[in-house]
Amino acid sequence: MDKKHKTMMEFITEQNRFERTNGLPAEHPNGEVMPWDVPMSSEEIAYWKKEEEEYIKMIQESFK
Amino acid sequence: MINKDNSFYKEYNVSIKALDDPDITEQEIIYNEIYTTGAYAVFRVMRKFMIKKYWKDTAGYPLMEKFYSKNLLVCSISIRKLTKATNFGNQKIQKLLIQLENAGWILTADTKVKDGQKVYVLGYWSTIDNKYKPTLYSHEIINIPTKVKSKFEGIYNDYDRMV
Repeated sequence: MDKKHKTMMEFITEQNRFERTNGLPAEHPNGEVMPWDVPMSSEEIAYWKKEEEEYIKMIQESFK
Repeated sequence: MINKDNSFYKEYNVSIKALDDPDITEQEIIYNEIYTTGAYAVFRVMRKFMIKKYWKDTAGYPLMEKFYSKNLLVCSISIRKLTKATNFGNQKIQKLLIQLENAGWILTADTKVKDGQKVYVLGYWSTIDNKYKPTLYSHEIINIPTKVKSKFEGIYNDYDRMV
């Protein structure tokens, strides 16, 4: 029997989908995968997340 | 140290002037409108829910094939979801989306996804020196030089007549 292994990204999107839909199957009309279930790639984190963190740090330092 | 190229820094530190300021520019009027009507809140939700690199197309959502692979950053979100996220009404959200579109922050694509849901283009991405670099249309507006004289001089005349 051939086993198809999921990639890490596929696994995390599925977990996010389960959490959002309370475990509905993917075929259910309310249980579809949505763009916000997909995690950010390392490139996207390097740009968006780091920029936001950098800005928050800057604000915190200004209050000291 | 302040990194002035930071996109969040750019957005939060835009100088907002009063509408009766004689030195106000076209760009600053756009920003005034967007920040004072809550359109910025809608924009932030849309930016958060943009399509990412590892999105796999499903039936009715061909967003990777039609947009991301062509270097476009898009967001397809229902108005119901936006109302939930921002606590604004249905009609207000529709007005704010039109306002964002008129300001040049977003574009609506011709192609629609499942159930006639619209697709909004927020910007484009490119790779410079093997580094991912997204550019949003809103950031391009920020970079416009602010020394251009205002075209909206008629606004003050109308205001004087009302008073």
